[in-house]
Amino acid sequence: MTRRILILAHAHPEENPTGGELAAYEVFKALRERGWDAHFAAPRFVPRLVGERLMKWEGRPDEWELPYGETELFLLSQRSPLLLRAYAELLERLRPDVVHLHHYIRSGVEAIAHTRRVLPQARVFVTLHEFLAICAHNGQMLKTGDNALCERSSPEECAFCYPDRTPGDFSVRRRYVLANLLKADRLISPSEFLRRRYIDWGVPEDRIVFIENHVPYQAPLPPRPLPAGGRRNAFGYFGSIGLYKGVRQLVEAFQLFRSMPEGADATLTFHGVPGYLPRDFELWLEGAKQRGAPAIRWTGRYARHELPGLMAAIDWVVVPSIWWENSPLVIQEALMAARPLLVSDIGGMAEKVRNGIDGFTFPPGNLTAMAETMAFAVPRFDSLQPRDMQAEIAARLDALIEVYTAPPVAARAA
Amino acid sequence: MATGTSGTVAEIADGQPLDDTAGWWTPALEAAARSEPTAETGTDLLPLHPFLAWLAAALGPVRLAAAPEGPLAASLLAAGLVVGPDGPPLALDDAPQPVPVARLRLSAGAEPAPPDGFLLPLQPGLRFAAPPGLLQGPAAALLAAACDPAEARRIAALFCALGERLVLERSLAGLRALAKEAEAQRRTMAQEIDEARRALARAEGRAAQEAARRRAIEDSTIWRSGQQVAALLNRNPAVSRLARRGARLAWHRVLRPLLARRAAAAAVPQIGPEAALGIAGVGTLVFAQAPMDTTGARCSLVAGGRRTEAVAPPAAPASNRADRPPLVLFFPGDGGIAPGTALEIALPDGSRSERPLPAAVSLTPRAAIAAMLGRFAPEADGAEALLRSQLLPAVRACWAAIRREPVKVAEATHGTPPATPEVSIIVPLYGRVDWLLIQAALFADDPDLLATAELIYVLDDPDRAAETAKLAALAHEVYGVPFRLLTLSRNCGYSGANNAGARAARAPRLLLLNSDVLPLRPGWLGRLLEIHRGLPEASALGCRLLFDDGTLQHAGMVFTPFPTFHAWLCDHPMKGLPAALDAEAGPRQVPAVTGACLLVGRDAWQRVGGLTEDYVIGDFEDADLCHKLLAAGGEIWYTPDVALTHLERQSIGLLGEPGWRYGLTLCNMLIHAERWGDRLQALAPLPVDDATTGPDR
Repeated sequence: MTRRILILAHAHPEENPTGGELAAYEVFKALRERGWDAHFAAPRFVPRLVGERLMKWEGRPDEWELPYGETELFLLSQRSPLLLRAYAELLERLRPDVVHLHHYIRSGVEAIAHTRRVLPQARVFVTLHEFLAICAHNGQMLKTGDNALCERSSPEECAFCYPDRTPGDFSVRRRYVLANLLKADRLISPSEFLRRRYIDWGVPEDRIVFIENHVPYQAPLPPRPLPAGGRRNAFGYFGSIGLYKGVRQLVEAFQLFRSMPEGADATLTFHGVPGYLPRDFELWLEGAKQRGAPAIRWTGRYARHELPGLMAAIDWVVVPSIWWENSPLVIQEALMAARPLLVSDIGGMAEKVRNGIDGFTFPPGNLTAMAETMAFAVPRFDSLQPRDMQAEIAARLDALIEVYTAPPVAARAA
Repeated sequence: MATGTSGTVAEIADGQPLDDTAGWWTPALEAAARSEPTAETGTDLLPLHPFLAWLAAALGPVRLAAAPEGPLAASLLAAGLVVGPDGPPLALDDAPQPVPVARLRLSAGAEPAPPDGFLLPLQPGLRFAAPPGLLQGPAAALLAAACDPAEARRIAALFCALGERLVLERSLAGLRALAKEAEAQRRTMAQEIDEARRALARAEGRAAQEAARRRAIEDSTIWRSGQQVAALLNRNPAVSRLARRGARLAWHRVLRPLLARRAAAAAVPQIGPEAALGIAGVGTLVFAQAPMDTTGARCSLVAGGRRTEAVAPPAAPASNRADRPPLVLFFPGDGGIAPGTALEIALPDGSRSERPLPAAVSLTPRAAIAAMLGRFAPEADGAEALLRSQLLPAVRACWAAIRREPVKVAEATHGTPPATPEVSIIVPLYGRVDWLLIQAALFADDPDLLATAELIYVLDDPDRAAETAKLAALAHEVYGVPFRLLTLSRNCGYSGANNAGARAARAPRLLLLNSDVLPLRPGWLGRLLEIHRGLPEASALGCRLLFDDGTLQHAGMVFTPFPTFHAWLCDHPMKGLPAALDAEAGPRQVPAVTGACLLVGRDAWQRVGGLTEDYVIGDFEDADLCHKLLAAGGEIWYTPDVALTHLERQSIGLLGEPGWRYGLTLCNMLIHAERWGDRLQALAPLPVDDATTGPDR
């Protein structure tokens, strides 16, 4: 019997092609290939006719768009009945056996309880893409003000970051969001690191499982052809130029590296466009684009199908984020393309990139260490062996399907 | 200029016609003007109209009546000999005073000589009128010119030379003027340079002073220690963060609430040291200075023969200080103050004084409570006597007036509550209405609760009715928890809201629950009901309440004597301590339990009349209910077996309540002592005191 699944994401990747949306969409496509009756739904910000609620996404038979809704961002609570009603209508029409939510910032945590209420028999899963439930600071687990790494949340600690709120407000936030998350059968974490953080925060261990995000397999690329006497010192950065992505630190560290013998003819190429940036960062970026040329290049936006070509032209992929990260898509892509990585040695990055095996790590934001790591890595390129990603990716999808079909954990409530 | 006869022409030079009309500039004249100067004429100005050249030379600049046109006019303009109608004023240095053009004219026909000039016959029928003094020299030459063309040519050459000389002289005058101007500028610049030098000197002096002051600061001990602190902060980011946090904490937890409280205090009607508050339907409260000792005085308001006596004799000021506190007197009535009302004070010795009433202020009962208690100083001498004798009666009368307004109760039912519930949970909502959503999310995980309990939310905040209705619909739609929502048409206070909920309740038991009390795990309600079933019929049962960090918020209530009044406070023993310190297992009897979570039988509740609504706005009513149940044969039990979270707002109360709120708590404390003094005295005896000042029993 064909099993039916509904995947509810916070946006469609055609609108916003970033990690969480892509992860949701790739699972949808992969399950469809494996013979599931898979459906994909996401809220979409488009003008609507009065009374029009649920629509097929651009006429496709198994993709749906929901009204945009109105999320109260402290309690992560949906305040518009429109989205929930359209969602209930979709659930009633499809009656899926499995509902898998990726993220809940647009649908609100209530979507989980709502699924339960409309379809008491369905299995419900939620993939967590960052620390949103734990941390009110955009789910980054960085202190407000100086963006220092935050190790632990507690009502008192959180009230230090948001002094206009009381510890009591944060208690309520935790109680409410946790109670709602636990209305799902299982929570799915794409990194063991994130899983541990949610367990520390109050999720019972048996209710949260680690499964890496699904990515479509791509064959490894041959190493970049070197000119005679050339060195493995072409570095690449992929992804949006964001505030917590460590771009500024990477540029400064690379300038240091350029003054070392290994870095004399090195290049660093940034692929990606700036996200929302504060004004001073924007100004710095403008200046950096002028000063760094020609060793540092900025190519701007790229389409996903261009990625293999871009990766073919470099030796190393750098992920210098100064926040924990969860499971950056670029790490998966680099591993598949057989491009070793240089990453910050914290959170999801340190977990995905084993130091000395998949690449090398450095302390986040430490310019000297970053430059020295680059110098150390250049002559050791050939000592790193590519991973067999094909088997790994197939195993992930198997693990996910196993979770979908496993018997429910005894108690759903806290 | 105009000529009377069109054919009139003066033959002056080379047979060129002198035509007064605009068309006199002919191609021939143009050619002559362009020709090389000859020895005979000496100057190329000759072809220019000699008459105009003469006029210019003789009279100085000439202002033309109409805008000049043509190359001749342009050269005359350039030479400064003529000026257009809009040109600059004719006032060059050393130039002769210009003669008004109006006095020079050519006229046709025989006409009498003007009184201010002469008539010269230029041609038969054409005459030139010249001002006096011009007849010698130029005018005479013109006369000759009029007769002989050759002579005219010679004279014209002379005039032209004269014209050139004048032009040169005027240029010279212009240069002199320029030189003068330059000299003036040089002087101004020199002055400016001097000024700038002086300013520089002043600034340097100031800079030196600043530097000296800065050195003095840097040498000071405070600065040096500050630098050490700054260095410490710079070296150690953790310390630095801590310091910043401290500053932020101080701002958000201390200064901002303080400022907010100031702002709230400013919103309370401010009354001067002397005032008469007219409170509609309640009476009049007078604050007046009394220079004499008013012990035992009888005070009345007198207006047009009508006399109203104060509710009690004035509370005697306890000292003979010069800054005697004002007399505070409450006169029950309708609150109207007739013009000419006087305050009469009759002293026990028979003397009597009549004083005009201070300026009257009209207030609503609600505003009056805040205004009168805002002025109350609880630490002052005789504060209790003042509160008891005057302010408390006034506050109670205000509260009674507020409660006289009718209340309408609207009900909305979401979902289907159990048909025969075992318990009705009554949750008043005020201010933060989103607690409804949070409780619904948590109750949804408790099938036992949903099967046995009927949930009744009572919105005691009519301004938030729309917001609450929306949240209630969402809460039911998402969590499926059935509940009833009562909306009161006016704010009734804690007792009023709970009593309204209890009147709507259908279950044999009532659970009073605060909206910020949250369950920790399912099954708590069943356990509470189980314990309650084993208690005497009219018993109340409370349970352990914890702060979110697991410390105790409530483990039963006790009564402790208030240090300065003859009354008792409700105290929460062990509040803030770890729950493990409340080690005694199993239910036990306590003096009282909090109303934040209180289970009681509905029959007993109805017999004792629910929560007493005498308490103004709200306080002490849970203790009061416990006293009433005890008196009705019940018992008060507390169980540590059931624990819930009570997220008492943690910022409020850090610095105490605003002034009038504290006064209100004291009022309610007195009401509580007045109602239950005997039991309280037995539980926690007050220190032995002079009986005359003891509480009224």
